[in-house]
Amino acid sequence: MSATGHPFRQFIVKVHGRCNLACTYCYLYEGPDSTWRARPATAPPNVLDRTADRIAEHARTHGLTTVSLVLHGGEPLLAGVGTLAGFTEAVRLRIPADCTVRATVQTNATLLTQDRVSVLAGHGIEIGISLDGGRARHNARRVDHAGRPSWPAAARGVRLVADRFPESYAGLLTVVDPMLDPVETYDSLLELRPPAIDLLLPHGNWSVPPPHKSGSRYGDWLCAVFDRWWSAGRRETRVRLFEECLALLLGLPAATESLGLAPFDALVVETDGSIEQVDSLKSAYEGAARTGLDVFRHAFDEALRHPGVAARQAGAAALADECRSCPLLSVCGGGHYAHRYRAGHGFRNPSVYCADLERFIRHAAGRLAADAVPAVASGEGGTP
Amino acid sequence: MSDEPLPELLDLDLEELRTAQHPVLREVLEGLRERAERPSEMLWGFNNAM
Repeated sequence: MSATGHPFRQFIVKVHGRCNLACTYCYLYEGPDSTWRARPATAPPNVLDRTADRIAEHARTHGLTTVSLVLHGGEPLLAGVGTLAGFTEAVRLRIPADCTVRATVQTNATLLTQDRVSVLAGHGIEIGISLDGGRARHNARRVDHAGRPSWPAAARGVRLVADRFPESYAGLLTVVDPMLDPVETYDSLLELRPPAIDLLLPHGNWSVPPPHKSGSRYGDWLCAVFDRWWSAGRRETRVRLFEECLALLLGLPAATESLGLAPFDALVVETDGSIEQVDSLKSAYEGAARTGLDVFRHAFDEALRHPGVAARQAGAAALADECRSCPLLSVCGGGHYAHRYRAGHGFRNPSVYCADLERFIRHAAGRLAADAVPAVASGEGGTP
Repeated sequence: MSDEPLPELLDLDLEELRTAQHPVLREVLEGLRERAERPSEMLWGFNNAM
């Protein structure tokens, strides 16, 4: 770690700033931040070129051996797969020889075709897909700008990847809807054969609470899926939230914004070259992700000195007193940063999902404690 | 928020757990073994991508 903070290792590049969908719960286009309106729809070549330079510069400065390049948006496929492939290759050519790039595109899958996926796969770009379940009714909120369901096109896209390009299939990202049956939702996702899924709590905070927030409703939902996953007899898919929770419970480092105290080391480059913090902050207030920096005038190291970036690398020091005194601190970590916001009080608060996180973490800990029985020490079988 | 501490899980021997009877735990631990041996540069935290 340098004196100015932990280097960035994950670079989210907005190759396109608009989306062909208008999901009703979108924290970006339906939230309080409207900065996207004044930005170019597509990242022009000079922005991508300069961004590739800056990523290489950062990797060289900090001796990074692996970086994550996330092609994002909006809907990144709107930029064209040629652009995605060309930009990825530019990054690979410019980074130091001993540094590798793990490239992923995160898409709503509606624009995936055989030809497009072939190009992505041919350039080693993995495909992450955003879907809220494996049924049309699970994705009722995922509509286009005319209010039409995206499910038919998304289903075609995800099945194309799962059936014909499994080696490029990064997995599914699902926003939890507590009004849907948890086990049915999870089982329907399994039918799409993802190597991994993640379950995201919808963005909200103390000033604008998440939908249907009541007691530990979201925690109960996660526990139901956890039990289904845990009791399956084999690991049917990796569930990132669950596995990172288990890692933290065992005292290991974790990789998620949802839990833990690890320094957050991702940054965003917008379509106009602005360097920003991640979009989830925009669910709090207009301009929440702004740094005032851009790839033409500033190296990424300057973003490490931004107070917002520093706060997300400060671990427990950035948390509210009640979080710092909580027995779940090292696992929960205060939950997702954006969920701690309260208007007039910033982010130094517990999560709006505090009760849910406690419910889920204690549940997972209990299952782990009950079933972490080595075969040599066991007298009877563990939980089937 | 309860003040009750979590179960004592930090003292579990990860090598012993390799032989855990629980099949999902066993598979999860295989993936975590590298993290235990050395911090990995391949732990990326950004939530909105897989």
